[in-house]
Amino acid sequence: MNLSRSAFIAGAVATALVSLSPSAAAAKRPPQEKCFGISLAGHNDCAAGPGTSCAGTSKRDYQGNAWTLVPKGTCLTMPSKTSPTGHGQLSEFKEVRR
Amino acid sequence: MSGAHSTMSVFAPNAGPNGLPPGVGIGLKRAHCEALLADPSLVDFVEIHAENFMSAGGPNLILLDRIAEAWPLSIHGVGLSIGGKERLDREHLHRLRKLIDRTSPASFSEHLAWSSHDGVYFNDLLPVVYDTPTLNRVIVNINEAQDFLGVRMLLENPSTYVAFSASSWHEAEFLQQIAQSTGCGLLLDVNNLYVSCYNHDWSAQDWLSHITLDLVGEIHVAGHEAIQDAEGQTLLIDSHGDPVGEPVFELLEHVITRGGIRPVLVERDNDIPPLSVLLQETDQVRQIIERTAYAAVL
Amino acid sequence: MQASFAHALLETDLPEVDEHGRFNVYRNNLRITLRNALRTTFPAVEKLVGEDYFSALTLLYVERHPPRSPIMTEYGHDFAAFLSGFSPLSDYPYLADVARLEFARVQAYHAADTHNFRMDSEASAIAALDIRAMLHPSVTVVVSENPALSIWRAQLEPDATPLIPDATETAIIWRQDDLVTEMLAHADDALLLRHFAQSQTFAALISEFPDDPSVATLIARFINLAIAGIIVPTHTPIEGEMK
Repeated sequence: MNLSRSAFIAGAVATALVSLSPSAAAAKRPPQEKCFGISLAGHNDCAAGPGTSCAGTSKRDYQGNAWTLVPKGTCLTMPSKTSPTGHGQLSEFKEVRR
Repeated sequence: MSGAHSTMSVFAPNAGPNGLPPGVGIGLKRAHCEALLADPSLVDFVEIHAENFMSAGGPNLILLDRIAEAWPLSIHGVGLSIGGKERLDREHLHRLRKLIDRTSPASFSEHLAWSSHDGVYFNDLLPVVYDTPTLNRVIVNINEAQDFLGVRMLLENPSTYVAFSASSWHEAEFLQQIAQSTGCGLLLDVNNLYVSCYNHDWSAQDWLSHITLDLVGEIHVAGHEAIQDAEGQTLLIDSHGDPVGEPVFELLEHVITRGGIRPVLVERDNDIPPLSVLLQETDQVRQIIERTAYAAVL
Repeated sequence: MQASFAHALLETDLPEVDEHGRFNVYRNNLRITLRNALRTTFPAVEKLVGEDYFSALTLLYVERHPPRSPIMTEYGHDFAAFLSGFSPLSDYPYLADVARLEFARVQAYHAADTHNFRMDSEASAIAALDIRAMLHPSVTVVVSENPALSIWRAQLEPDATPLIPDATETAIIWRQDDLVTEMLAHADDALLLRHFAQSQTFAALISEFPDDPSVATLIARFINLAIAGIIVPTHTPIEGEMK
């Protein structure tokens, strides 16, 4: 099907183009905070990571266990469908051992 | 800034043994890219980590092309796992070849280490056992890499925190044997040498006496940090997060006094300071090179 | 030797391997460098759960899903799936979608280049309808039953518009003029995004209902997505014809 011969199509294209202001096509961009830039730092290194040490033989040594900790970030103020208040809740959960 | 570096002209203008100029380079960090590109004469060459530039397209490759245009380039791989038990990853070799074909680097180097096993990539340079089966495997891997990539590579001595009782070779002899069998050169990381000598109570002088310094195509200097092990003994960690230590500069001076001037790279991967701080370190390296050169003339 | 070394690296609850505890430097370094790689890719997830929680979470993830590729920008491809299946976080179902979005942004940055449609005249726009097209290699569509894009943005701009808990959002993430961009998909975009997931012409999409009134809307959306560089021609255009 060659659409270029259809008057209907030509009209639709013309309407679509008119409705586009020069900047309308560009999606609104949020300001780029430094820490949210795309991994410009690069990921691959040949050095030991900062804080590397001889410590860390058990999960306790690594900032706790995700099965027992509770999130403490901004998620506590984000709306959530699953909680009656509309906000995330610090639900008590039992530690699950697999 | 660049005027202070014109003294480099007293040195041989020709390329070093492996194509890098016998001057001072810097491990290129994103934060410093634009400032350095605005005045490329601040350094004589730059080094990038191969794995950070394996994009299919986009701005990363545009930046890569600008870098390759501005300086003699050293491509430093961290993920080939040359000391691994398995065959080299063909897919990774293809990615490396693409990068090398695109940039025609002055040097390509990798590590005497392993980082992959059974399909898992550990994102670290892990220690190899210095025994004859491992030696033979590393030789096969380097031959394969050099054939596939079409370049002679440099192999870097590692920094290690453990040594294996199964090791029957001296680390330096192991490297020397690899270089002789494969025709590859060596990347002498004097920080790694210092760190490993400290951790294993080796003598750096003795270590150096086992390798032919002519094989060294590039030298790395970097910072390390000291921690305590479980027994309360000091262990040096190759952190690349601190200024280059005085003993490392001394070892550098010793090496180039004995072996001649080489391309020297200042590496910093963590706690990246402002460029001016890193350029103070490259200036320190330049001073050592100049001192050594004048001493050689006299 | 290497096999047991590799095994011990991934096990956390192991007795000391060597008397000096020096092997732990490797065990520790593996976790720290991989956590840092994940932190670089998923800054909004970290902000949402907090630093300590993110550390603990990535420790679990690293041990269960260690990298399979030496390219660290590819690490975390199944972090979103891991989050979905992690029961302690079931009260925060949007976390996985935010992770999907963040991973998509990193992939978009490194994705292949292509040419865009030229849409500067009526004739070129009409011609584009008959040209085989596809989604730009950088495109990821994140369909969320939560306001995932808004939640992600709120991590950037704390004063952003208040979130609507019941909203569902479909986000398009792609690279436009070398910048990674994200936008909410229009209601009519789903059909186009599905259609152009394979190389197709616009004409093929509407061949069964050429006179339907919805065609005008679809054309308008097609032109929008083509100008944004989300839908691109499949083949490199002839010199001078398109940019």
